[in-house]
Amino acid sequence: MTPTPTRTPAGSATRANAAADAVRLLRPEVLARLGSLELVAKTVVDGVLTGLHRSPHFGHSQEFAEYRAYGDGDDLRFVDWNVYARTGRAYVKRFHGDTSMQLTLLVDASASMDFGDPVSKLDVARWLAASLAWLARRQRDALSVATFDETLREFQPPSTRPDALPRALGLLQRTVPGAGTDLVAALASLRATVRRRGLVALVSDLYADPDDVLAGLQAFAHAGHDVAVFRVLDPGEIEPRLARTAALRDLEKGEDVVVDPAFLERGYRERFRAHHEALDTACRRVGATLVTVRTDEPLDAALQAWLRVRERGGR
Amino acid sequence: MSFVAPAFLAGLAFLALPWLLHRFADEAPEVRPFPTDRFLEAVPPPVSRTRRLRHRALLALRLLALAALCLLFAGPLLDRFGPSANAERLHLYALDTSWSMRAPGRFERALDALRSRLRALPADAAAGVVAFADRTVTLTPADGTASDALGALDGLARTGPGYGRADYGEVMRRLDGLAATAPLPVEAVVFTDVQASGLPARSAELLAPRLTSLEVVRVDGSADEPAAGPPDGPSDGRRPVPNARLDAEATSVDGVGARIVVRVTGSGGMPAGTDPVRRRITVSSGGEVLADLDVAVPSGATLERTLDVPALPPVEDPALDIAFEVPDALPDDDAVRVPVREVRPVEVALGTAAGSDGSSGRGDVSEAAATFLGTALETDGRARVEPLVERSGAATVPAGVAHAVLFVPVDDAAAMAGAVRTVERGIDVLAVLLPAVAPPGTATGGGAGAGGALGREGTDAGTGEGEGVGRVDEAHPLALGDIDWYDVRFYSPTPFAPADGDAVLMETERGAPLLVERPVGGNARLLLLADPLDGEASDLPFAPAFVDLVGATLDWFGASGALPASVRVGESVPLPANVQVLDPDGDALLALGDAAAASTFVPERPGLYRVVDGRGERSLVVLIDARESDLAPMDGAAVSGWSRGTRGSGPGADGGDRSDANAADAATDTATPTASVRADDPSPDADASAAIADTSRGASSVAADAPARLWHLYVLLPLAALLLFGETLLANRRLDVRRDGS
Repeated sequence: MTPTPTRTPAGSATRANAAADAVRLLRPEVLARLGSLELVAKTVVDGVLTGLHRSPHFGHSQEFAEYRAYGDGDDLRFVDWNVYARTGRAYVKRFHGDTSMQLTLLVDASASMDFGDPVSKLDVARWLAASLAWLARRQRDALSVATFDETLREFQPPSTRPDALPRALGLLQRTVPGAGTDLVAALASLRATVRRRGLVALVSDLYADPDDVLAGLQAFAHAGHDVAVFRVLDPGEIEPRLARTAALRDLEKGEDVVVDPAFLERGYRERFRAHHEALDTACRRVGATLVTVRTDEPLDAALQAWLRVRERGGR
Repeated sequence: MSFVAPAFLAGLAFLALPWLLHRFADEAPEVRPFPTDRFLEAVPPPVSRTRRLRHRALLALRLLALAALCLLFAGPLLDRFGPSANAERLHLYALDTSWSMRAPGRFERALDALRSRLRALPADAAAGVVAFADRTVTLTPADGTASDALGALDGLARTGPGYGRADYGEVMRRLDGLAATAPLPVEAVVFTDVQASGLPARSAELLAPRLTSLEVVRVDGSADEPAAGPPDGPSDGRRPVPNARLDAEATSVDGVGARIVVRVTGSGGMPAGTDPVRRRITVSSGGEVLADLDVAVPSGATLERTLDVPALPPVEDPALDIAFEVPDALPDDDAVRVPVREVRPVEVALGTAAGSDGSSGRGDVSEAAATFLGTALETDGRARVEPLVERSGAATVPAGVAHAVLFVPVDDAAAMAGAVRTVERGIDVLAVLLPAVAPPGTATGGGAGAGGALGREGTDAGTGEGEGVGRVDEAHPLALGDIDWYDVRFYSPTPFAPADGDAVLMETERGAPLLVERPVGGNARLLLLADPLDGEASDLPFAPAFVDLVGATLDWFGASGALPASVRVGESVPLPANVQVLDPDGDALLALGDAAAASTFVPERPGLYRVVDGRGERSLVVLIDARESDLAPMDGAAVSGWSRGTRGSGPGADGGDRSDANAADAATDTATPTASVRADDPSPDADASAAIADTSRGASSVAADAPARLWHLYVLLPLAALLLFGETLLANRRLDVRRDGS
């Protein structure tokens, strides 16, 4: 579908596009200075929408499904009057997704997320979750948010109430890095509470066994959920560098490992790449797309990429 | 190379600190947070013994910065930039020839030490010797050689020290001036007894920034003698040589007996608890002891005692020999020969100036004026009025009277000329100008009438109020500004037009001259007072200001031909014209031609001098500078501080701007301890300076001298700043140091 350009004076259109690009290309450190999570989410979403040129509808379908005989209490707005004129009977049109979709955000708040400079992975995870929440509320979907580390730390049940977004943002805002990570346990706990089908967005650095990740996500996929996996990474862990031998302290376990710089240049990166590929495979097996979000890249770019994938039919 | 503050070089020891830190610090590997150890592979921790120096560039920056800072504070004094840095030096030796060097052994030790230094030099090494006391004398030019200097010392050994006072500030200025013109780096050595009294008032005067180095060699001879007495003596353990100084003056009221005031000063610097110096003082004349007195003077104190001699020897102008019975280490200040000065009023002649015909004037001098003048002159016994005497048919000032007050009719040119002739005879004259005699039928200001101070109606434009004193020359030695002229009114001052060259010292509010000094020539003085002092023309004779004016006039007259009672050796004494000076041995010091032209006289040894002129014979006591009698040495800190004052950037650096011409002016040849007249004799040091300046050796290095003196500021300071800046940058980059506190 070709987007219909808005008719505006050439100059103002140029300026608008430039401003939109400027917003879209906001660096993470710029977002960090915005302070308010709501403002961050709005800024990111505005940038996303400007880049997509139309509103996304992730999980909400307007596709015709069936006719049903009109009954008492049905909304007269959905009566198909053409059918009534031809047949003399009142039928109500039913669509896929007639009911609002539910977005469940699962944000990793383990200690390993407290890494990154100048913004941490947890910061970016919060921004990403807030942006998704903003998009969901924009199309009046039900919103649910959960944070986890070794357990499910906080959970905000699904809600379509107007205050769902502020409460979700507040929960994200007050989230601080916790202890270790137990993704399987967190997913299992969440699975027990999320019953209505919808979109489950996992935001984490995914330092877990790929098989565990697969097992956890499969439970959602088998229950009919759409699953989106956002892996937040810092360049310092993708391509770490050391000038000399140093001890690297595991943020979750607190243990030091003396590492040779040469190993980081070769062995570490190979292991990291293999793990990432295993995660990607696991995600594909449950019909999800693994989206990598780097803390040193604009957030809206990653979000746009994911939405485009969904538009093309991917999950 | 030398240093202003070499103690700061100890800071170089801290260079080891950065090295140690870079070598041994940070034994444990650096710990960095990391999200997970899932992909990590541990290696054995590094062993410190196998470590090498890390961050070598940073270490080098830190070492260089530290070294630069140490050198900056130490103040390195490099002689020259470039290849001349190791060129030969000019060795300047300054030998103390002040009077205190006459103490036993001092001068000999100084000569021996100086000879040793000169012999240690190559025979053709550039060396110069200067002798200094209160002035500095070049014995050998600075472009001479060591062998020349050795030869010059033989002559100095025969003459010995003089009687001058050591002025270390003067010798340092002189050495610095020589260094300024020397083409080579100058190393100076000062041989002296380090008298504390020779220190200048400002320690900065001891700095000689142009000298490459300065060494002070003590020759006071007490280095090996342990200090006696309590431990609170001099800090360096030296024991000062005890010495006492005698000074005296004798006066006589009746010419029969005399009162003698003696002052004895004990040498300072003695340890606390040292017994006072005990001396017996004898007063004698012609070998006959007239009186004696025992005194005990504590260290550094001055004791004043009075002795009465009931009967002086029946001789004209008696002089008394006052001396310690037993001389001490420096006998020259143990005895003094003083004249007996008679305390009697000054004789002042009072009368009317002789006219052209030799008559004694118009004879219209107010009797009141004579009374007023006589009363004022004889106030407090200051003067005794003598009448003029007839000589060759004319009224003249009696013989032996040096001052006169003459009434001079302002319209009588002959009388004025007579007054001038009197002045030319060497007699100071206060000319009281009488008003001109008015032609018959013409009213003049001097006419009688009602009003004025004595009922005279003045000519003050009919107002009768007169006018006060207007402008007064307060800079004149008469000190007219100190006199209270408030109540003095002038009703009809004598009309008088000052001649060319006249100096109007006082005038009325309307600008009429009241008191004028007229230069006549010679040493006598002529004052013109435009008031008849009759009590009618003004209130002046009745006012207290009149007595003050007369007294000030007498004082000023008395200073015209007077000599000071005593002067110090080396002090310039102003001389009246046409005098002859006899030294203590009675020998004339002035050549026949010099006697008329000499205006000053510089005695160079103590004793009783006599100045002979037309007025008779006057005595002049010449004493050794009291500060030179104080043999207390400087303490060790002062000596070491003095020797460090070279090539520094302290306040003494300005002293180097003093022109050599000035320094040369201050120097006079005192190599021979004989009195010399210091009229216009050329300074030998001027030639010496010129000789140094003309020396071609190393002339190119002279231009580099100025930046060389401060090279450590020009180079080290920016270098240190640059190194510290580089260290900051590198440390921030390599060590992840957050110096902003974040």
